[in-house]
Amino acid sequence: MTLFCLGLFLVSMHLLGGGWRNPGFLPALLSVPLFADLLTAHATSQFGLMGLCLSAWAHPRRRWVLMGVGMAIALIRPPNALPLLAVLIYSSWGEWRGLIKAAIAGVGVILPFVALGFWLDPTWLPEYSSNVGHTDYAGLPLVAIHLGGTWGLVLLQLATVVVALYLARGRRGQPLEPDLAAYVIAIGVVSSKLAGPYSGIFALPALARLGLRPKLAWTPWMASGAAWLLELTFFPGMLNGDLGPPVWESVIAYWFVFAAWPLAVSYPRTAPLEIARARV
Amino acid sequence: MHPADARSRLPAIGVALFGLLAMAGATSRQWHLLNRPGDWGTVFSGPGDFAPANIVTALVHGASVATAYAHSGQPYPLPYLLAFAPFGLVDDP
Repeated sequence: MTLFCLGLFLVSMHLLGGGWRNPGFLPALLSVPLFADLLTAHATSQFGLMGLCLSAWAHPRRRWVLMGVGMAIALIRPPNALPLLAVLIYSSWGEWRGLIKAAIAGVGVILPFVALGFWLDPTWLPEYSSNVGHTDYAGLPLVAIHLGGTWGLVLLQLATVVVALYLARGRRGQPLEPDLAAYVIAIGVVSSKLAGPYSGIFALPALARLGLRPKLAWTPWMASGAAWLLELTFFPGMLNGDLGPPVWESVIAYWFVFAAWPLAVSYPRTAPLEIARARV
Repeated sequence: MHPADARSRLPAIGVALFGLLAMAGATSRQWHLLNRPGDWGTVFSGPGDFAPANIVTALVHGASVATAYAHSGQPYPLPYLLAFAPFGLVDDP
């Protein structure tokens, strides 16, 4: 299962992380979030990330079916998927035939399992809602639950969607920039349950894409190295008998979202080479 | 500049230092497992989360999936857990 998760991550990086030759790829591969994910074989997250990257890759190429299939897969983790879903709809504004095609493809993938779910457990929706409200949380979702219960979580989710749409403002009906898409996916980390540093894998394509910018080529290395440095600070505790890193280790995921912020403020406003190539 | 050109400008010493730091950090994080002789196999044998064993067992043995889902506490929609139940069969004889 660990190798399977690694394979999914490599596919994600190939689709949206700038490829394996990107100088930012190695620090993303040797990062704390991926290490934690592989240790626990957290396949749900890797499936979700791969689906999101597939959707983001397919949009500028107008591969509507793949975009729908990718989003159907990504919705296994709704908090991570909703910001990109909102931006994809906004970026496809006016291209209704394509959007309908994507929606049909997505529904076609998941509908049989939804039907099976209702057949085996007609009450799975309220049960899911209950599970979401009682799962282990850390970071901002935990704060949101303390402040407003499940509604606090909903508000936090809405905030991430609004921020994602704000970043995409002025791009209505235009091909989704890979840099913007990668950062919107990273924003999903803020509203995800953060029950471990593995949640940070959703920020890794964005972090890796910084390596494509010559002036920022060292940023992924420094960001990833700083996270490892933090892990080193847990060593004295381990020597004193701790059975693992402290619970707050999860907030490392936010560090990777923060480190990738240059993508949010300066992505190419003209069609990038890879989009132009796809249209030829 | 092409990405490959940018990579060629990264000093090897910097990359090597990063590698050492990553190795030290990983060792520190997993020290509680690495420090148990003969137990190194557990380092890469996390329980995984996909698909939950009790849901897979309920499916295979015809038990109530509803009860299994409720007890699993999984924050994932049930249709997705069902879709990937075959992966659970690999680990759950």
